[in-house]
Amino acid sequence: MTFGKYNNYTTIIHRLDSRIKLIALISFFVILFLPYGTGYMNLVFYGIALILLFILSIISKASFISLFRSLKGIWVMVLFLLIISLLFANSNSGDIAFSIYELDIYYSTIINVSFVLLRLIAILTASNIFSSTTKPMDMTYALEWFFYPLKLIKIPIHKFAMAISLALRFVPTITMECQRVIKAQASRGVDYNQGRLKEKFKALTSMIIPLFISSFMKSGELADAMEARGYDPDSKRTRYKVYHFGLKDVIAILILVIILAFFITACCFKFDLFSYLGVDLPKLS
Amino acid sequence: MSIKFEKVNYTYDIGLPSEKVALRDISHIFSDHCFTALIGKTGSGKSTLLQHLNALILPTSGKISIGSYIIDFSLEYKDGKVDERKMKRKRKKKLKDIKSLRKKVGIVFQFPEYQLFEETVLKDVMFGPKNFGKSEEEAKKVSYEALKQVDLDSSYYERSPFELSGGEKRRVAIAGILALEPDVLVLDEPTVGLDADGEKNFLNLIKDIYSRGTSIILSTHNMDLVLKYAENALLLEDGKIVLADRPHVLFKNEELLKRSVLRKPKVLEFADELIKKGLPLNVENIFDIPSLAKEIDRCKR
Ligand SMILES: Nc1ncnc2c1ncn2[C@@H]1O[C@H](COP(=O)(O)OP(=O)(O)OP(=O)(O)O)[C@@H](O)[C@H]1O
Ligand SMILES: [Mg+2]
Repeated sequence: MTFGKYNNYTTIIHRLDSRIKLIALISFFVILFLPYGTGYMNLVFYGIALILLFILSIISKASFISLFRSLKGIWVMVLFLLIISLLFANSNSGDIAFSIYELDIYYSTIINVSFVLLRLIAILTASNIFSSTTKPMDMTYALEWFFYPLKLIKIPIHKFAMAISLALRFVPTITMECQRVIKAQASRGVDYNQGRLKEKFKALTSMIIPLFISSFMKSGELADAMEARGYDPDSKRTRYKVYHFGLKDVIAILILVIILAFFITACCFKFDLFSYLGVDLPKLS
Repeated sequence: MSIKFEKVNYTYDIGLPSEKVALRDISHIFSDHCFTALIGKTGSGKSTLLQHLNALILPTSGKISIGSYIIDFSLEYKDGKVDERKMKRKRKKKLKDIKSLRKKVGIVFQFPEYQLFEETVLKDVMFGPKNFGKSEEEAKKVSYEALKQVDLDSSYYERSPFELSGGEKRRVAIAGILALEPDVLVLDEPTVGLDADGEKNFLNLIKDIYSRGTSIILSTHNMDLVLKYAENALLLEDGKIVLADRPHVLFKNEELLKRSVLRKPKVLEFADELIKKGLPLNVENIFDIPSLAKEIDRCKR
């Protein structure tokens, strides 16, 4: 299973209203970008958010394996971040953690890199939960709902929503088509991995042009099929699935509000737990 | 060139919820100059098997020898169990010179018209030969030859392939493979979507190519075709070979036919009726309508 692909379980998170899930996703992004005072407090709160997200992951049976697989590439990024902040960061002040030869590594650098990392993992986890528990159709429904106000200034939201859901619907189809074309061209001696630049370019066109052609053909056929069944883009839409706000949705909103309130309060008061407890931590600046 | 399958297994999407065993323990030899038809229900694994023939799909386990080219993923055992580590190492090794294999075995996929992309028909047919190292001139020569074989008039050569009808596109695509002059021609349900005339011409072309020394391996749901042209029928059922023999042997086996929802060819049904009526026909001599007529004639004498 690839990262963020919808998985067909029926956990409580799957059954939640997609609009709530979308709000929750955005809330978590906000939480992850709020400042909570000192670098240490940032770490603590991002850690808490991450733990919450892990719990949600387990509840929603979102695949950890695919998540970790997608995290594999992160090590390169950590290294990159480290080097960048070592070379350029003007935050190189405060206590020195250790030195490698002539190079001083500050605690502040380590903290900075680690909370960027935490943030990244948390964002990936949150998106993974959202997309593996929400059907593409429901996602577009949520988007459409939130953009509803734009309708007042005559922007055809439902057309955009339809376009998005069709695009999502065709991702697997086009992936399959792509594999088919690759195989067909491989039989004609195309090697996608070897060869000089010019040959590679040719190999790429031999894949892309047939893909475009068949996509155009498919979309034409789809448009015809929709019209033949009486689809009129301007008429009022009804829904196949009508969403009822249930008890679980209310509870979910309550929990979400509590979590948000907790983090926002923490952000406002910038309470420094460590100095309160009298723990002596290395200075950051 | 003969192709040998030894205990080949193939599973799609290993380790995922959609995991699906498509081939089970396939052992078979496609002999040097053969005309083999793969038959079986939809989903029985025909297309999967065909794609093994030029390493578009590599077996999960098992060994395939295509002429002198060998893909060896046969199972390694240690203490009576499969040695996973050794298997992993085997699969990691990169296949050498896969292009030379693809040159010998050409595959025409179902709906090959989707592989066209060049500006002109001629250029598209030349694309394959040029990939395999032919010069512009040589490529042009074999392409003309191939286009002539598929009955495309020279007025088409400079037209864009996208302006053609479905059947014409198909012919261009097939010419694209023929121009590679493969030793083995593999076709996946080649007659689907052709009109009656197109189908007849196409089958005659295949027969022609076969008689010139190229092996033909194709999958089909058309039993008349199997009886008339194929020397060997390979019946697949849920990824296993349940029969590999002459078509006549298959069509005699009522139980197998029923199980795989196959229809006997019309000529054989007709012959059966005649036999019931007391005509001592020899079914083995019947391949199509002319041969049936000949057999009836023989009985009357
Ligand atoms: N890309 C794929 N991913 C996962 N499973 C697949 C894939 N391709 C085929 N399968 C499965 O493998 C099995 C064999 O498929 P295959 O295409 O070989 O059947 P077939 O005999 O060619 O059928 P048909 O007569 O319809 O062409 C089927 O059950 C199919 O669902
Ligand atoms: Mg098939």
